[in-house]
Amino acid sequence: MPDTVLIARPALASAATGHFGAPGTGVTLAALPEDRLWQALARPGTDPAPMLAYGAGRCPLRSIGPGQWLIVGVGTGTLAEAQAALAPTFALSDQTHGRMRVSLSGPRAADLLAKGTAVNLALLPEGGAAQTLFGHIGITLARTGPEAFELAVLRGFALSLWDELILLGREYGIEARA
Amino acid sequence: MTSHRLPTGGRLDRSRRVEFSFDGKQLAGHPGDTLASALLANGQRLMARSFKYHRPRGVVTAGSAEPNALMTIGREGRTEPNTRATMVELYQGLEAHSQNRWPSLDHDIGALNGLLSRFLGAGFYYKTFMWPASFWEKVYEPIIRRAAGLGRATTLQDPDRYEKTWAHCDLLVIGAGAAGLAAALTAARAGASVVLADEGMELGGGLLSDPAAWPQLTEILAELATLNVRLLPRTTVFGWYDGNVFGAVERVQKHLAAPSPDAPVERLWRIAARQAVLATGAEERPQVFAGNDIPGIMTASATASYLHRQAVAPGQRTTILTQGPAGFALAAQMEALGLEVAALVSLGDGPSWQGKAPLIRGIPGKAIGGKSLKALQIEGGARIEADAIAMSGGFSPVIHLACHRGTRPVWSDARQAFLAPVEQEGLLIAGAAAGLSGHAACLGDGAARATAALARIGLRATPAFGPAPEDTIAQPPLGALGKTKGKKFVDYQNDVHARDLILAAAEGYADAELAKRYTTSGMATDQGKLGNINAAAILAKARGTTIAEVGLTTFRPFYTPVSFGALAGTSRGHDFQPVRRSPLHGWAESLGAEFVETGLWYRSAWFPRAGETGWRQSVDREVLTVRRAAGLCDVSTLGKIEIFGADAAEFLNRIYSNGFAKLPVGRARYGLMLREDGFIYDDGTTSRLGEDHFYMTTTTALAAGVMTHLEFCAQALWPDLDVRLASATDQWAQMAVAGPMARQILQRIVDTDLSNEAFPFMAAREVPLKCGITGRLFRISFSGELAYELAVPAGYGEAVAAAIMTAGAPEGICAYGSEALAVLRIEKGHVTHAEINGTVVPADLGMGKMVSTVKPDFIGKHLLDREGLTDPARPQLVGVVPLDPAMPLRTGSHVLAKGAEATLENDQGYLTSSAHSPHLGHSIALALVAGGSQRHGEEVVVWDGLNDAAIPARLTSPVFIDPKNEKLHA
Repeated sequence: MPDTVLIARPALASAATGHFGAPGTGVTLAALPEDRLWQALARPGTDPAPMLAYGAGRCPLRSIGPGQWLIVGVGTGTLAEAQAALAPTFALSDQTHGRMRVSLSGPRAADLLAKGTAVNLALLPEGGAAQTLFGHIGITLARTGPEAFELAVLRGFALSLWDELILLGREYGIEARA
Repeated sequence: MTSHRLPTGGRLDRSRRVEFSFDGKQLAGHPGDTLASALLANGQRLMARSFKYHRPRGVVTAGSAEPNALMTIGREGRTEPNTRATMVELYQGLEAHSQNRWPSLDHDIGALNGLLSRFLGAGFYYKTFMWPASFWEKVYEPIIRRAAGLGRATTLQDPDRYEKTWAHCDLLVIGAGAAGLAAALTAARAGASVVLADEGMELGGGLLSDPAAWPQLTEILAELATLNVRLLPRTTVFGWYDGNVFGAVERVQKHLAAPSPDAPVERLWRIAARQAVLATGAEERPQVFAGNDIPGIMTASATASYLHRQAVAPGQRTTILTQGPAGFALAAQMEALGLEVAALVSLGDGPSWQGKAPLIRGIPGKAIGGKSLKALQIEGGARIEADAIAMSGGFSPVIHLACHRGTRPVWSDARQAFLAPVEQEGLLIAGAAAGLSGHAACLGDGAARATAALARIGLRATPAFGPAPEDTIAQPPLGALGKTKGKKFVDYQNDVHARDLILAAAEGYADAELAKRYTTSGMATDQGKLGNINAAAILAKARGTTIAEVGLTTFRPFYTPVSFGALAGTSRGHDFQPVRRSPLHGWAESLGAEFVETGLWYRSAWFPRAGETGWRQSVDREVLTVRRAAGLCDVSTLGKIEIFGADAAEFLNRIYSNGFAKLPVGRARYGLMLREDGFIYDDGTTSRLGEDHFYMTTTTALAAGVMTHLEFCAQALWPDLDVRLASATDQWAQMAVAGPMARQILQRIVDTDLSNEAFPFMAAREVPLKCGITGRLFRISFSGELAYELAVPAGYGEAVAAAIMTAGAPEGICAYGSEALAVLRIEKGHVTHAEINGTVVPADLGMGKMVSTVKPDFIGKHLLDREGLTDPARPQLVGVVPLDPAMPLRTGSHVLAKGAEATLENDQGYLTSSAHSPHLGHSIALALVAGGSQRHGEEVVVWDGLNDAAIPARLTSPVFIDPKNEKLHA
């Protein structure tokens, strides 16, 4: 069926949007583009320098464990090209469709996050990441600015996470943008 | 008029009126009132009936230790029983009701219990209701429960929201009295991050009852507001846990007439503190004398609190009973306010007294009155007419939290109190909680302890206050006073009086823990906060030993009761648990699927069509369509794991019982994963996509478990192997396309040759789709038909599924759900965790050949040789069919030999899975039956105890269709 055009459906296509809760906007919740999310896995004992250098470019790294990173963002080049450049010490697993990213920002973003995660946000530097839970949902949490965070979540849980963030953000006034 | 509001004073906003009701009576107070103070201000001293004897009771404290003034507040779904009136902030429209009385608080029939009290002593129900035994549950206990009790919980849904949150700090200060404020100020000035929590509605603790200290309090609070301190009033820290994490409940909106739906009414805090200072103060001990529970009698510190904070006088004429100087100070304050002190009764040595009231050296004999106090008879002395008594029996430091992690309190002769070690890892105790007295001394101690706490974490602080001398000398707990007869209450809440404890000791229950259980002293909502020390003193005297020897019962969380709402947080209703949606969820919804919860997943179970009246009809149609044409099933919920690394093949060879080292690239293989003990853990197919790249599928149920297992093996068992694991479950939308027409339909979508030669059974590789994306195609079959599984990036799942349905329309393709999938696999004799239930080894399932005999090792290899696991009489997988095709077989039924009685000894096995086979037209089942593999053809009885049915049946091969696997290879 060469005439069939397949359109990818974003995991948060049917998510609730708008302003919720108290007046004002203490927190802004936004879905981030599903351009790339690659999991890089280093051979045990490998020098991480080439990966760190790679991540210094347009697509930053989220460290998710010893020798493992998520490469996120919007960039050029395909996974195959990146894999060729990083082989054989780093393997890449495409998770672009497997995990969704949302951003949480604003003066009360940290207060909202504290309702779900035990991570001490005061000790999380910009660019730093932590594997943690938000409530019952596993996330990769990264700080992207003084009052800005990024949450990467398994696609299947994305809507539940979205709804819970809105529920717990109502106290501060939350603006949700898909 | 007894208790009443004074014309001036207090920390009230007198410009505003707050209306509330008590037992339907309309009353009013002011902002700044608690429910208890507002009731007192309205002259309402009778607030409750006691637990057992239904005695009239009034408020005895002004804080969280209150044993008497328990009320039901709120209405409908907000109804909250056993609320302490002393802790409830007054709000407009508050409805309060007394408890444990009928027909009314004033006229309570249950008070007749008091007349029977000589039969209702300690342990009475253990002794009285012994016979006949069957009466206990049916007759005695329900009657006792009705007669003795607290409030009733509502069964209506709570309309309010609850939340949980975390906080992290350098220093947590628990209690915002003098010591706590000084600790917080000292630490905050040093730049530390500080959390200051206090259970009261206002920060200040004991300073709030001392108008002379108010200017200083205002100053401290103003400075704290400018520093890095999170101030948490209305927040009770209820427990100390491992990792120096403290649990606390903040009453965010409990004090508001109309709570906002945007915020929680209560918030549960988990506070991870590098260090903590416990500054919880001390509880004043009541005195134990006859009639000490008559409304109008309260502690001296409660009297001071009501006087100074809410400008409420406890009565017209107050008698003060004191050990030590506490009562002298109160007497002076009351006289300064122009209130009449009937007498100042000092039980020991006190300071000199220049006031108007007569100073009497003596002990109380008996309080006289019913629903209100009338007089106090001094033991062997005068009768003092008085309508209020303020009593002070010394102080007990509030050390509960310091003992939550196993530390035992130790008696201090110097302090005449049980103390916890002042320095523990992560926790220091300051101020009155450490036994100190006097605001100045507590300020100095709090500052010093905070400085010490910060030094432990490398922060330098300067104490905000210097050391100061203490006010008073410690007073011993005296236990029961006087020889006058009458009930001398020790534990007000449980109606335990001194004689109960003496009786318990006489009957052999003198140990503190035993006495608690025998008498109920120290139980219920207040856990003996007021009474435990006096109880220990009484037990010590009865045993002829010291109070140090008797000790206290164990302190455990929670310090005060915590609502279920706070503990549940958002986990209720729609938010009870997260939902995991398959990437094909929307596609299935659009076809009208019925969903079934599988863990957190929602799987499409069947797809009803117009005219179908029951699920069986839909499932039968789906099964037959797959067998005759083709069907598409969402299998995205299966676990998917990508395995990379030069040693990935060797790794899998050790993980699975069958061989994987030589699996060629482009091929899939079914594998069995064993546990160390030889039993099967999980099964699934794993494909080799590249020399160093595998793609494993697991069952839905064990996806996370297998991932954890693999990580453990890679990291802990064989760290020398180059193997790297990534979960890919959510990356792929995976669909099974099964049925004799599957190939021709898929060929319209997949841009690669799918002929049997080019893409044979068990082929597995990346394939281009005709619309420009790449998928992964596996020729594997769970249904027993010619079948494929196609994985595409999740976002494309719905579009690809819809495209396949369109492409297959000419052949009549249908969507099928997990129910049809189950029927198909049972017909084919394929197993799931219904069979792989932790009790089976590969040979039990007829998979003995999947246990490699050539591999040097794999997980489970060695323990698989145990004789019990090779016994030919072990339960083995068989098929079961009913002799009468009309009879249904049910999962869980047991297999018996023909003619055998249904006894445990005769049990030969059980049905693990069953279904109606539309292909065969009757019920079929899989079963694990002793020696089953050698018994095909044997007639047995399937015994279904739940339905009282014994169905004649025959054991068969577990494969009901295509036993030669011709369809798979078609």
